[in-house]
Amino acid sequence: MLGYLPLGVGVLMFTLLCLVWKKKVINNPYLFLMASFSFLLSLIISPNLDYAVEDYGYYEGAVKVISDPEIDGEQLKFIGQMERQKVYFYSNEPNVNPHHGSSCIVKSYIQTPNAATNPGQFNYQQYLANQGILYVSFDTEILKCQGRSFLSHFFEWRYVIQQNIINQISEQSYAWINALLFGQREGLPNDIIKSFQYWGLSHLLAISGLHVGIFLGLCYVVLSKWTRLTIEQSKWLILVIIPIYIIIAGAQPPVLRAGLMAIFVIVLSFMKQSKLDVTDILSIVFMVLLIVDPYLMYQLSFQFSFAVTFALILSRKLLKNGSWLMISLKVSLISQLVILPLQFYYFYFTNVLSFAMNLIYVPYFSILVLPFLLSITLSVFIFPDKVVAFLDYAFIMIHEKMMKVILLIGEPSFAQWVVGQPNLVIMVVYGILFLWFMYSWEAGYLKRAGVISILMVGLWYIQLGSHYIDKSLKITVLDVGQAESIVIELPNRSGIYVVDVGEEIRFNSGHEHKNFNDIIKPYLWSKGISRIDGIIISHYDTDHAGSLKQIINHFQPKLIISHPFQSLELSKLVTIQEGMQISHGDVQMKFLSPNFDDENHDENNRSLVFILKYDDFDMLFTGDITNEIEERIAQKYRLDLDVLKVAHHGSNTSTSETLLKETNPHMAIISVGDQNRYGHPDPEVLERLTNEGIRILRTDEDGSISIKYVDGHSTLKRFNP
Amino acid sequence: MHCLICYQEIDSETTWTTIFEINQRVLCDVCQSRFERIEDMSNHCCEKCMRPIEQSISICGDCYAWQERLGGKDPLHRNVSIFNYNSFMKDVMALFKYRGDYELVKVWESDVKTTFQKCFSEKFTLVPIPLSKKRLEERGFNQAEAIAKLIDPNTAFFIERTHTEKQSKKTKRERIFSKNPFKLKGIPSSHILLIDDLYTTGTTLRQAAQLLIDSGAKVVQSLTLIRS
Repeated sequence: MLGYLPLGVGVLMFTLLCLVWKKKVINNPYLFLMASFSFLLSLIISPNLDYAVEDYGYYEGAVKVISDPEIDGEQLKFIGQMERQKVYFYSNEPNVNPHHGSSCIVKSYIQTPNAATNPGQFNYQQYLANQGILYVSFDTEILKCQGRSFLSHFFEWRYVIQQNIINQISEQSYAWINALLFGQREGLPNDIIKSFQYWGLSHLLAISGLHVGIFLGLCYVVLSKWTRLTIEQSKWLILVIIPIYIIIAGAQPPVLRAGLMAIFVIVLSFMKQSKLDVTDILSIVFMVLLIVDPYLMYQLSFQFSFAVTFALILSRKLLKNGSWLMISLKVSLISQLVILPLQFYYFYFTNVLSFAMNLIYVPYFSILVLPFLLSITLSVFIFPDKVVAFLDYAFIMIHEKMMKVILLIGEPSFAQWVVGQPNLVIMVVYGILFLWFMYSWEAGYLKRAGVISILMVGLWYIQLGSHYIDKSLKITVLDVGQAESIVIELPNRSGIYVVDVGEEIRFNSGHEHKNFNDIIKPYLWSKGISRIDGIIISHYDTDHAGSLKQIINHFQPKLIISHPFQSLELSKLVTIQEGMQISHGDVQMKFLSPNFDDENHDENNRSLVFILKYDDFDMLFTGDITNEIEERIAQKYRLDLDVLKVAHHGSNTSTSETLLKETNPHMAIISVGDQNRYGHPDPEVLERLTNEGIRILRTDEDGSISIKYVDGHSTLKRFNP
Repeated sequence: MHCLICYQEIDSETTWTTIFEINQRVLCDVCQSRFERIEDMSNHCCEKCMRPIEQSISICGDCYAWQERLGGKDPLHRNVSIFNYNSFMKDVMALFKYRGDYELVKVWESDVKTTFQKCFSEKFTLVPIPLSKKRLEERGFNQAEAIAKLIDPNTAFFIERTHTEKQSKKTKRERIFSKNPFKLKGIPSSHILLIDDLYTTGTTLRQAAQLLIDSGAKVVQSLTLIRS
């Protein structure tokens, strides 16, 4: 992790502030004392982000439920406090239903969460650690539960409301109500969630501060205009409504932020004397939330919510005048600019047309969808079934069309700008430029602002350009389970080739392209790669070619390279056989197999085999060939290898002693899934490799394996050290 | 916070331009905009006294006349002024000087500080133009001293003044040819910066400058709040 860096930066910033604002510090000793106190406090209550190294093991004993247990199909999930640890518990078909605050006796195996094994991959272990949770338990048996907290009654009430609604309206409308009013978006269609993410509209699918504002605004109008309550009484009533609303809406960070801010504003409006700036209110809410739960700082929605709100509040002067369209455009632009470094850090890309989509969908959701859903929800409890059914029908009619539009537009690659995971220095420089830009804009120095904005964009090209001065050859064998995918990055970014895009063979559908979506694409994007020069498919088995279509659609390879024995209608397909060669700068890929006679062989033995040569470095890519082909190659070509990609995931039918003796590799890499059904890699293969003194690397143990070759030296990097 | 001049509530919204501003604002936007800074209103001024003049000449007629009269040995090297003497400024000065609203000096604090930093260096010793004892009793404070203390709170007087008629009650001719009313109190340093509220004809400043030059100062310049 970051070690002492945050502390160092904190101390540095604090000293700097004291020096710059010497006078202010001397004139306001209380302010200084407060600042010092909160700084010290932050050192004490800072979250601990260490990982658990080993499984906790079998546990039978007491657990206190500290979250509202969620039911997802047959599965129950909750966070439990066990001794001094927080554990994420999953339980299938539980007999007992725990509540928030219950004390339960459980029986379970408590283990460490799955960590990422590839660069760029989502890290579930870190995700949980950022919430202070170090362990998970997947198959928990809950023996008995007793007691519950005061809050649990609200949660139950919420559940009852949800059940009432679900019984009366269509599943489609309910999914949206559940997402936008209750903060649970599990029911939304996956393609819509993905599409909204792509277009930077995710904030609309969760309950954002905007939603809270609209909801409270509506409440206020209804109470003060349509009832006989005085303005003061309506305010008091809203003060009671807000906390209830926060709980019903699932208490996500943006809701907490907006709700607490509203409480502050109303309370302050009662006290005519004290006038606080909105920035002060936001800062106070920020500190209060962090003191209550310091882990919030690591939540994406917390970071995005506060960054955007802070930026928009500071831009009040810029947003005061102008047409509705201009103001909306400015809001979009400022919001996008302020979260850009975070966006790149977490998602490696940004959507340059996101502002246009926001321009359409933000008003649509604010003016139509939210009030519509609110009225459907209310009518469930007030009006007869027919009215509900009509509203339900009308909503689906309109909403389905609006969702179809965004799905039809799809994910055009011209809208995406892939930059990769940015360097810390670049992010800091961007932050300074952004402040300067906003200052110049507001002060009316438009020319200067224009120049700075060009610098701000140019900065990300520096990030991208850093790859072009890296003169090493990089080969990364990704850990894609019982499948295969290897990325070859040529020196100075002169070319990118991907060898195989395999998917694990699964019997439950819905995750057909898991490797591509969760590992291969994030890896490439994190390195700032959005186009590739070639995709080399060794053969057409799913574990090597499962996501061929996906990689073609997303990365537009100039060449699709494969063996000639499969009839495929692909415009850029180049079929290759023994004797052919691809040269790309100083790098050569010499193909050694298959030849024409191999058509009669099974798919594995039709695999493309090639040797990658650069300078003094030789690596053999073998697909899934067996001994027969291996020996033919070994005898025909005099090979002296540095690295051997072991054929067929370490199956005993390949990697013969002859091959090893003839080619003499130093290192052997096996792409193999953890505890796979085939028993790969075969112990005899491992023995043969060991006997030859070859270093064995395997993706199931080492994670992704990366070899970097520069100036005659190769260095090895295993993701799991 | 209320505006020091019009007592209206100051709109204290924090925005991108004010987020790093640590000094509390003392003026509302309206009053702020009614002061005219010489810098902002004209791009060509007399090199010596900062009076706005035509592009083609480098020093104004008055300064030229001073040079003639003093035989090229003008004791005042240069004057820097910040504001124009418009009617709003006249009203504020009346409040400040004659009604004794000392707090108003804060209105000019940042302008005086930045102008000093821009045009002068730390090697200058600040010398505010003194008032006579009688006048000081009448007013309760010295406006030049108040302005000097914005730059350096430890400013002391090097010179003192024997009582004369108020400058504002004299004609231009009387002012130019009046007797030097200043007396030296100590030994001046080599670089002197005279501080006063108004530069009208420059007589007072030149009388003080002459005294300082005669007693050994090498360079005497002046910083005045207003060029009238």
